[in-house]
Amino acid sequence: MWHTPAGIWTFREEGALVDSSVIVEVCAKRPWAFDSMHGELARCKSSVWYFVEMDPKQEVFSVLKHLIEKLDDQDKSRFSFYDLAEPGRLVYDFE
Amino acid sequence: MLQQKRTKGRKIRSAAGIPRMNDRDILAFEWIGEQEAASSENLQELLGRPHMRELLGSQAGETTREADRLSVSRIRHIIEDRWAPAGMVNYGMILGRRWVWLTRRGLQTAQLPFRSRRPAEAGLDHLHHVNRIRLTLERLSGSANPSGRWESACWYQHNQQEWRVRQKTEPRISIPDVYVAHPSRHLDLS
Repeated sequence: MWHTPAGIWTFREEGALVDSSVIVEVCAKRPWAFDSMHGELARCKSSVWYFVEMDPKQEVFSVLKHLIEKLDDQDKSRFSFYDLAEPGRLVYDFE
Repeated sequence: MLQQKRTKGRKIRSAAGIPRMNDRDILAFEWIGEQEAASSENLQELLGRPHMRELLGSQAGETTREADRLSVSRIRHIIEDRWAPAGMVNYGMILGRRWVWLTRRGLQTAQLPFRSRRPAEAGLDHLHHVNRIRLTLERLSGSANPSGRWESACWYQHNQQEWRVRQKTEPRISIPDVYVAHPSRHLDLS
């Protein structure tokens, strides 16, 4: 359960069905755990919405951002970060 | 002897008083079972949704000052006086939150193929937030007839396993990439 998305959200966008992998992070990810999750996400091309604890002391966002920055540009562009406390707030995206 | 009579009496009263589950209850069991468990706070929002309340009509009970949320006492009543006596859920205070998860009977009622288990403490804070995010997405997409659909981690793993088993018996079949889609840009929560 730990290295699969929290859910897949399927919705309509401009008439087409679109999937998005939803991931929730409440504590800092270790690199091996990110690799495992990334392997799972590599199975599909869907976008990835990360809902992340934004308290800078907990370094959840900074660690994840650092790990994703190492990916190639096309892969990176799938990821968007949202504030876990305020889910509608886009914090960062790699496009 | 006296002890036996008392026990028997209690059983009869208990059997006579088992509440009947309604459509609202069954919808809630589906949601809880798919998520593995739900906190009381999650349930306040889930059961306070307008369409859930419509299913109950005048029995819906008190709400909080916050729109579309049931009160803590109402949730406690539903869990302790309806769902638990009917053998549908287990519940307990874990790490400062009241948690509810389905029994085997609850899972059968919701027609879910999962096993009943007490949620692991280590993942509860995470699960509480996952549930919050699902509730938010469903609310924003119109919870009565949502334009979006959530596939939980439990279903995701179940479906993957099903396809792997099928591939063993039918080697020519490749696991469909059911999660493939055109990348969307951003979550529009406006």
